[in-house]
Amino acid sequence: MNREILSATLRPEYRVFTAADGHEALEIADTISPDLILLDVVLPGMDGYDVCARLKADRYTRNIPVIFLTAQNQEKDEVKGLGLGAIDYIFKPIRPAIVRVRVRNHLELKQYRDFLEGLSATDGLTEIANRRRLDECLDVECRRAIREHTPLSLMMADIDFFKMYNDYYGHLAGDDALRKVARALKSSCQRPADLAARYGGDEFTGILPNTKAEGGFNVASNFLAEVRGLCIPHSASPIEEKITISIGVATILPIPGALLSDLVQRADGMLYKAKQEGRNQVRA
Amino acid sequence: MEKRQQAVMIVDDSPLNIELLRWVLGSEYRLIIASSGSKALEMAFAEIPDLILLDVLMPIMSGYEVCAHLKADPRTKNIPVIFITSLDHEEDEAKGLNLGAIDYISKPLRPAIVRVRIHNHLELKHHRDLLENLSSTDGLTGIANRLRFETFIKAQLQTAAIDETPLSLIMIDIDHFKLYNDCYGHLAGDDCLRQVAKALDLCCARPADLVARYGGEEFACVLPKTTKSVAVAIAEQLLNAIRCLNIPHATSPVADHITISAGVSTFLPGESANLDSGLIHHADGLLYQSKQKGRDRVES
Repeated sequence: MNREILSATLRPEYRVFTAADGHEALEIADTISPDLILLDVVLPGMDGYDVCARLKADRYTRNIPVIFLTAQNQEKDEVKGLGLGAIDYIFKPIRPAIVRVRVRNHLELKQYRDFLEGLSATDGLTEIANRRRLDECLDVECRRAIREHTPLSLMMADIDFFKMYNDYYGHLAGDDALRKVARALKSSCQRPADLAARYGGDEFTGILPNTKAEGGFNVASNFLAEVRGLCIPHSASPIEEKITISIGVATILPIPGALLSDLVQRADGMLYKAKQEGRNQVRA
Repeated sequence: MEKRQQAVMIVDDSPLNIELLRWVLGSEYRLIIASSGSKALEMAFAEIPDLILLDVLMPIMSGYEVCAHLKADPRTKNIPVIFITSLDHEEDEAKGLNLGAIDYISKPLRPAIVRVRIHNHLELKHHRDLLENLSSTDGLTGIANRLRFETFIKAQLQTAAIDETPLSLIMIDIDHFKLYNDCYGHLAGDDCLRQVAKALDLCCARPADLVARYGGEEFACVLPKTTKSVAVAIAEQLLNAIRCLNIPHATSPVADHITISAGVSTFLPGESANLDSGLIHHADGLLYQSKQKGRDRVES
């Protein structure tokens, strides 16, 4: 009954999912990661307080705002709910106008936070992942590789003679070329777990989870071909008339104690080798 | 970012209510007290509190009006506002919330509830501040990033035009950094970038200055209220500070250690201030000249 009233109140503006008990709520929260949760206190089985505590204890769901919506209107109930980290506690009977505007305001804040989170993980120029996100992701994937016994590949790429490109065509054209190369990297790293990131000035990185050395080499070869296919003129390059890249690929196998810094260093070493051996190529 | 003491502003025309809230909130937060709507706006713009507790019924300017003003100004629109009031009709509550207040608490005050609600909203605010800070700093070096640089220089140019003061910009590039990376590897390269950023930041230490990472091995220093001759002197100091780091660079044709080149451009009152790209472009051109002329030098 209450779920129906709430659905009717919110459905015109939002996608609404309903759960009949705590377990179902946790399951939905985990799989669809909603932007806001309206939670009753009295539920069959696990109560709303327990659900809230579990949501707040899990790093994947802890940032979802929770609003209690309940007939438990004693002060101690409200203090308990808010003390568990709920952002609001609304008494029944449901007043649709109030629920609607409270939900809207909390969602606006959530949206702003999501925006900031995106901003802080994205490179402003190329709009792919930035260095901060890269470091975090590399750390997480390295642990996962060891835990799940899967190989992890890393590619490091560098635009050939980019300094000369900038000097010849100017920084604005240089920025434009970086954007195009970033897009090519992104389309090469397209499995959901892959991450395309800008490492630094004209250096790019691809993290390829669950990928053996051979697979890593293939992705890198695709990326190389994509960039060549862009046909960005580079008259100042000593090797070609267009922009090319060099790529180094390294792979770690799931041995406990496998070191993240080793992986980066080896990919870097391979990149150096690719450049020594004439650039415009992949070394793995 | 270390957690600083957060500031809560109380807006109420009744001394008794103010005392009550002061007692409820205790010593956990820094309190800013305003006894009228106009004072509240004045103090909110000056102090940018972390949260505002707002009474509705006040003479001259009501709490609703104060809230609407706060939400309309970019400086204060992200400050959470909580109404605390004796107006407990549904339409009053809906009105307050519709103005963008994040909460509406009816009197009589229940201290435990007020305390925990305020605590939760301030936690979220702290989290947003962290993210705002993260999104404006460079992940590798910890100094301001390109986004922050662009916002900052735009605002400073406007101020310079209004106040009729000069504004200088130094664009900096590490000499032969590519060769450094090739010789020592990217991890050492990262370390070098961090050291250079830190040295530049320490050297440009006046409160109004901003040092930012502009791109890979490029940095920018924005120097408000600074003439060209002073900016050139600062640039020379920066060059010297980097030489003094004495980071070995065996493959550099310039020196056996890391050096930088700089270009200095100055905006003068009377010029068109919306040309931030003009100023950057000019400084960039001078930087290019200093590279052409042998690096490890300043051009202006």
